[in-house]
Amino acid sequence: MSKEPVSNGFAITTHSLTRRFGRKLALDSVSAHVPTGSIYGLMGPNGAGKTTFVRCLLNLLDPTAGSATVLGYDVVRDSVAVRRRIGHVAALQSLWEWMSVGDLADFMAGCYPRWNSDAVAAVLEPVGIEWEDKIQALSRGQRTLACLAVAIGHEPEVLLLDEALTGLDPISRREVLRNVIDVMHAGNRTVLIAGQDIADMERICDQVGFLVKGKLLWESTLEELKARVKRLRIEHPEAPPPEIPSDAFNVERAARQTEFTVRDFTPDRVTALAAPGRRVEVMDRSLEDIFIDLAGPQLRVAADLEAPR
Amino acid sequence: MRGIFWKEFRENRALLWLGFALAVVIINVYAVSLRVTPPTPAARQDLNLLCGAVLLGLAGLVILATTANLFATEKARGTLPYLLALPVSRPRIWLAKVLGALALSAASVFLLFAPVLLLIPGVARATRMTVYLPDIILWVLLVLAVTVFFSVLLTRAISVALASLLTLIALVSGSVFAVLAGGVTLLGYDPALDVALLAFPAVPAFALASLAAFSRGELLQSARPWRVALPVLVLVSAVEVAGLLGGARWAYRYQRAEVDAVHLASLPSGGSVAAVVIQGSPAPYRREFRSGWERGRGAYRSTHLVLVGLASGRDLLALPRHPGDLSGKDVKVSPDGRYLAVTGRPDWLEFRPGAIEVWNVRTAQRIYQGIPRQGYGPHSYYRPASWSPVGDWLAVYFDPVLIGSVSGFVETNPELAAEANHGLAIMRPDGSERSEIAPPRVEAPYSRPYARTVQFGWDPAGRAAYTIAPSNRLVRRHLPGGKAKLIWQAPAPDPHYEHYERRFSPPLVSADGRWITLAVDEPNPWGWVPNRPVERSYFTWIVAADGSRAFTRRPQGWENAAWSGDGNYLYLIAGLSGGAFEISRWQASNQQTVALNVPPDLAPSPGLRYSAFPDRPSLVIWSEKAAYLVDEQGRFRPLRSPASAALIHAPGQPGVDRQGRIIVASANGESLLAVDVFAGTVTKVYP
Repeated sequence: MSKEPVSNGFAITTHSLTRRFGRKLALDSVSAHVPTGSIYGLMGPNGAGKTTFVRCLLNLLDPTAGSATVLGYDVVRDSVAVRRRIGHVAALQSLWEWMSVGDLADFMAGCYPRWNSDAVAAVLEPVGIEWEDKIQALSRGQRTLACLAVAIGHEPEVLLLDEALTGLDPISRREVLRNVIDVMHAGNRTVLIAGQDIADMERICDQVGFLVKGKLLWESTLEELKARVKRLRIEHPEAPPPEIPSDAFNVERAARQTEFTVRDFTPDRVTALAAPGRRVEVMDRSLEDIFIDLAGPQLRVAADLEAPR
Repeated sequence: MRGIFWKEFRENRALLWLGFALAVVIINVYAVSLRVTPPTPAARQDLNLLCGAVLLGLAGLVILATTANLFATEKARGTLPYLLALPVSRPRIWLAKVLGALALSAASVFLLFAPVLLLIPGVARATRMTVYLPDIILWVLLVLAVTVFFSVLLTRAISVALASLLTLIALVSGSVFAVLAGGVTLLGYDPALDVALLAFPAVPAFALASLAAFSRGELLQSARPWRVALPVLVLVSAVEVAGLLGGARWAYRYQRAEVDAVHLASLPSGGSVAAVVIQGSPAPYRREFRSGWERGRGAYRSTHLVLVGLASGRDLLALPRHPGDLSGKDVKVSPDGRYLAVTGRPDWLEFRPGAIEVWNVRTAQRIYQGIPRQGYGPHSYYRPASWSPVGDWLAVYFDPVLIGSVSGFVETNPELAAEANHGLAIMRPDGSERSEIAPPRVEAPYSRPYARTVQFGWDPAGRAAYTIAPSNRLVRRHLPGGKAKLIWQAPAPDPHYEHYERRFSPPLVSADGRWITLAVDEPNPWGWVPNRPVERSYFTWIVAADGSRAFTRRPQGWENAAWSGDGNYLYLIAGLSGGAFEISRWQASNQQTVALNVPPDLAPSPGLRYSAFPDRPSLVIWSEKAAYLVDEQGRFRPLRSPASAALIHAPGQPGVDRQGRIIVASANGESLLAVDVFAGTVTKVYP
């Protein structure tokens, strides 16, 4: 008798998850924790390893090192059990062109132990997709919508959206996200959205992770992220420029003004920077700003290294 | 898994419709062709061949296309990750797709074949290849395994098809080479099945490799699957190389010609010729059911016939593969060495009766070819021919073997009992001046068909033939077409068996023509009761050629007889129960029979052989253990080595040349040896 897996409040957990493609390191010891019932936004530039991360969770790829569990199930050892509980939509997902939407739903329904057609219909109907519509007759965005619809047909406990919203117009995107998120949230289910649609993520995610060059640079709630990552502007018209903290980055210097970002902001830091003739201003950052702040230096280093001499 | 299986079916349903449409087209073409084709069997056969060949080719393409569609299409259109993300294990996805391809192939092929299934035998007959179900299953599995393997590795269906085709060609070529050229025989009676079996080890290897590559989930990186596939390809290649090496090893043995039988004739001008039946290389083969069981070696080997001049050691005449089966006793060289008579066995599969051919050795031209009467189709055949002592006449038996071998046949077909369509034909070498001697006609309702054959012996001068006439009479017939003259009549043993036809051995005439010996059986009231063991007893008769005297003796069993070269001694060799035998010698000068003391190491032996000499009273006799020369005084003198070894280990029956040397095949069948038993020497005379 197999032991029921224990998730410890996390729907997805990875421990030093590493994946190599030959000499290229796609995932570099990623340890991520996605709380159960959260909407987790995994952000990163192109080639950061987001799709590899998702494919490892689906066991489409074997990890080179490390491990990952979904709902307490090991993704390699219990891959079928994991996939039974996961819904998945990939970017620009290819489908069997000869099928109708109904055929696709029927085919998927045959692969899962339970199926909720109403949930599928709830996604399809608002956007005007009929069961009889052939896949080959659908636009790119409509295909993605069809995929999203059938991905929640088996009422998955975890939904993985890998650049799934690419190609959707803003109205559809909002509509779909609202429907899907409603369905998922209603059952305390977990959604992991991997992509670059930061505006959408900022609107709906409660957890975020930054993946850059295979490394997980940041992982926290959105509130914590915004509370800890701040940009400080120090005006010093008369006084000498302040000493830049060692953990500061994205530093901009001017004649009478210095700006930098810190990733571990506390009010004490303002006090430490304060001095006669200085004025310290703490600025909130948007998610996009934070993403650029955190990922930018990493990418610049990479660009410098790759630039021809 | 069921969902994936049905997806495959629905995805490829166009293939089924295509198969159905093709079947309809082929049926209509066939029907129209029947209307416009002359209704001759040959034309029908050609049409069957054409349609069958088209169908076989289409079936192969359908299987290849279906299996090439397995994973390659999914990869090419990008749906494979979607499929793999389903909560179904990799092996089950793999199995569902393979089963789907198998079912689709089977359905498509069935659609193609079913309406015209009756055409396939036409293909088989025209190509001399019978299509067996095991062949088809093995080939389908091989095609499936190879294309599944490549469809996991390659992304385009067309590249999968091409790679599969090339690999299959390589596999099949290797196997064909191993079987046909190399002589590797696994079952030995069916080359196509042997080729399929040789290639069959590739099936599980390819299937497991594809499953392993698929299950590891390495499909999305182009170079990775080869990490699994390469070792498998190496393994498969190793198997094939091993097969080829094995084939080469066997080829070393089988490519050499082997002497199967020898028949000798002494030439008036001196020297001798030997007709040598040679088992040649395995290819070209004939697909036959029986050959493997009967010969037990090189089932597909062709048979060649070579006439060898022993003085020169050169081939005088080489005949191509003889139609029908051929064995050494079917070959007879005329005593003057000018002609060669070959009688062929009937070909049961080809529904072809046995034939007789006479060849002119000098010109290498066939001067006569005859087939027996067609009373009972392929079952008619010629028995081995017999040349007159000077080679100007040829006698040949023909006999529908069916009548004598099927219990109860004659009782249910009484009209056949009186029909003498078997008998003896005597003719010139070119078939002219042919006369036929019918077997004794039997009026009794319960006659024995096997007794109604013509037994026959030549007068040493070649001007007359001794045969058995009705009412158990030994008659002499002068050639050509002379009337029968009564020599002797076997006495009626009992008035109750006045209609009983005795069974005779062929009359054996002494070299001086003065005496004739033959064996005659004793009536047995239970001899014609079907399914009852027949216990026969025999009398040996020695009759003066002019009929003036006759002597008889009753041995324990059937006696084989051999006249000495001077005609003075008749050696009678009787096989006893348990494999033992006894040898007696009848002397013409005093008409006395003396039992000889057989050395204990000569008997019992099932492999007893003997040979008399044309100009000597001696007899050489040997078994599988020992060889002896029986001298004029009836004493057994052991032969010295290597002569004794050459005789003991020689396969087949020997012959004696003009110099009194015994010509035998060497133990390995590669050459002919001349054994001089008096000098104790062995000389290689051919090649």
